Amino acid sequence: MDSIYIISIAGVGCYVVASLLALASLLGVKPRGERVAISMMTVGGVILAGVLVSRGVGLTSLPAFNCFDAMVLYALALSGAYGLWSAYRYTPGIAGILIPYATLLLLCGVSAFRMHGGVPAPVQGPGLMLHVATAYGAFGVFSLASISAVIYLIQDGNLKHKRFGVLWSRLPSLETMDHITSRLIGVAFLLLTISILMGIVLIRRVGGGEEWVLDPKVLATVILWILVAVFVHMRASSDRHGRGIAMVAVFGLGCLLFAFIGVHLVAPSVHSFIQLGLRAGGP
Amino acid sequence: MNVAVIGISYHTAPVEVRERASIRPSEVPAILQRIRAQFPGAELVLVSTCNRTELYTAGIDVNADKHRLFQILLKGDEHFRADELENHFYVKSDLDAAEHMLAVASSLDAMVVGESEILGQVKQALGIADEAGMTGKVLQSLFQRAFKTAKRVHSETDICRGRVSVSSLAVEFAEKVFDDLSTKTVMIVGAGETAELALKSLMDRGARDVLVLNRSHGRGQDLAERCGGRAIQFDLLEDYLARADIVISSTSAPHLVIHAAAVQRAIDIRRGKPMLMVDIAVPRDIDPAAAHIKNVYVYSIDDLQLIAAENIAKRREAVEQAWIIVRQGLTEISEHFEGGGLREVLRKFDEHGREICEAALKRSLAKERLAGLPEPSREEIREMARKIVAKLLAEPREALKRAAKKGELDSYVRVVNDLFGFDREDINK
Repeated sequence: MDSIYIISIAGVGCYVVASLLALASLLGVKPRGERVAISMMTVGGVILAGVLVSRGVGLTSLPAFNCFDAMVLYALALSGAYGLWSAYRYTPGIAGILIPYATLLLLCGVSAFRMHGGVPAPVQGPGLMLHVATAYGAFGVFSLASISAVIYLIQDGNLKHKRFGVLWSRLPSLETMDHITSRLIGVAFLLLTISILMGIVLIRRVGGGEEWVLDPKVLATVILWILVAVFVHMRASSDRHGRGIAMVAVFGLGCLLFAFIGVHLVAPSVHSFIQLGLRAGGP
Repeated sequence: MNVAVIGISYHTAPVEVRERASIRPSEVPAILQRIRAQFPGAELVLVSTCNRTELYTAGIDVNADKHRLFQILLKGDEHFRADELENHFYVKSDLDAAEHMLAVASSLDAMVVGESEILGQVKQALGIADEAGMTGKVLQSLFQRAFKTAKRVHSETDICRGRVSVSSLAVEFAEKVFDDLSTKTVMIVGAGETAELALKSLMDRGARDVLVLNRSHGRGQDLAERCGGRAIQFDLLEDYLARADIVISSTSAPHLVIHAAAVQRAIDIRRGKPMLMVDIAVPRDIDPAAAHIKNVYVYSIDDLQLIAAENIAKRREAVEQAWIIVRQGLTEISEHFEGGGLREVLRKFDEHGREICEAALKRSLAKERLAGLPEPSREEIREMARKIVAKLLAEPREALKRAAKKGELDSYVRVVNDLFGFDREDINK
């Protein structure tokens, strides 16, 4: 276990270095550092994915039910979404905000490395894997869309208030960010819908009642789903653009973080990965 | 290396003088032919832009012939007295000329330091001279090294960072708002010169759909035809405003032309799609209150000039770094040419020694009293003569090598020419 812990630290270390490089690139200190930062992030991602596989083998269950696993999965989903987007269309400037955000998640998670969690035997299986994979996929893709919206708002502020400094020159155009946000939120909506549907199937399988349906995490996720649906509607039917829609996406990131982490800090949940040991967490 | 530049630029002459020496690309081959007719064998490249006209030469003693060259560059214009020409034209030779060429190609000598057009203009000038058969090994090598240095200056320093003209800054703003200008509609309000330049810059970056509105519809139509756009009646401005992604306004109206309420209506129709408005008119055409509308980005001429000044200041900071690269390029040129010159002088030295030695041996060994000498003895005499010549020339050879290392080869070459009667042009070829 100790060796896996050290390997995890190495993976997080890669993210830390990648963050510093990406920030240096964003601030114009090392303008060509972003691609190196993305490479470092990829190395860190591969290491951490290996750690999760190793933990999964050790636990003989899906490694997604303690704080460390959850944070690593979220960070990997976000990094993966960014990696796929960059392969499709590399957009300089995003890494300077995205990689530090992913690193922050990992640093929060690494402190809970030794905690354990699990799920009841009846829910184990391919359905759970699909539920978890689509949920984290949706979180990763939605977070990338929201980070693009954050960049949109920063660039909008630069343009409005005539701040023509290094951020103005390093960040992409408003239209590019608007495009990324609207394209990815559709994907996130699809993944989140699949995840919620799979969750319903799993609840029926374990014969779950109110404690599942009224679970704070489930409610928060449904609110997030409604918000994403509103966003998708605003773009699909009304073709809304600009600052307003970017603010909706950023608000969505707040909802996501509440549904993912915040809800566990204010109320007990069957999905809890923070109050570990109190009860075995569900999906 | 025997290269030189003779020229006139904005440093030394006002535009009234520069325009007399301005030469269109189509005129260049004929002028080069005229110079070649007077200086056979010379290598020539003529660079003529709005800020300079410069003739680069190899194989001409420009200091001796500068007045003839002034007249050719002025196309026979006898408007100026000789002393005026001395003030306006400059002549630089050898390493000074090479340094000047590197500075020009690297845009360090430009009116707006870091402007990128000059490198293309110098390349074009070399191309024209090359096609006309006016270049040779010396100028080709020198220009290629200048291009290499300019490329380094552009890529390794911030000298070209940030646009500095009002027209190109409009593009910079557009690129921070929009991703792909080819799908955007540009509206030009008022067919002024600066607006046209800004439009040209936007079209260079892909903008295709252009609407031109001018109070004089005829002038608007002229501009629309030139840029492949559509002329719209000025009264329909507010109706068309929602279609425009980029608005550039430059009318001479003494009052506001585009009101905030009209912009608000347009942005509502556009459902929040961003709109960039560049107001280069004085007094302003666009209501300043429009800047407070969400998703509308309004810039006045003062904003553009402020950024231009900041960018110029940043470029100035990079000048020192750029000069370091230019000096490195100059050292390479110096080593290349002086190294080549040294080899040529040494070759001449050896040839000269061998010729003297062989001539003396031929005369001596042909004399009757030596005619009976056996072949081994004759060979020994030959060997001794060669050694004497080699010993005599050894010290001057070393002195030449030392001079080349110190960059003083040219003055030594002159002395050697005088002492040994070498043809200087042969050595410097």
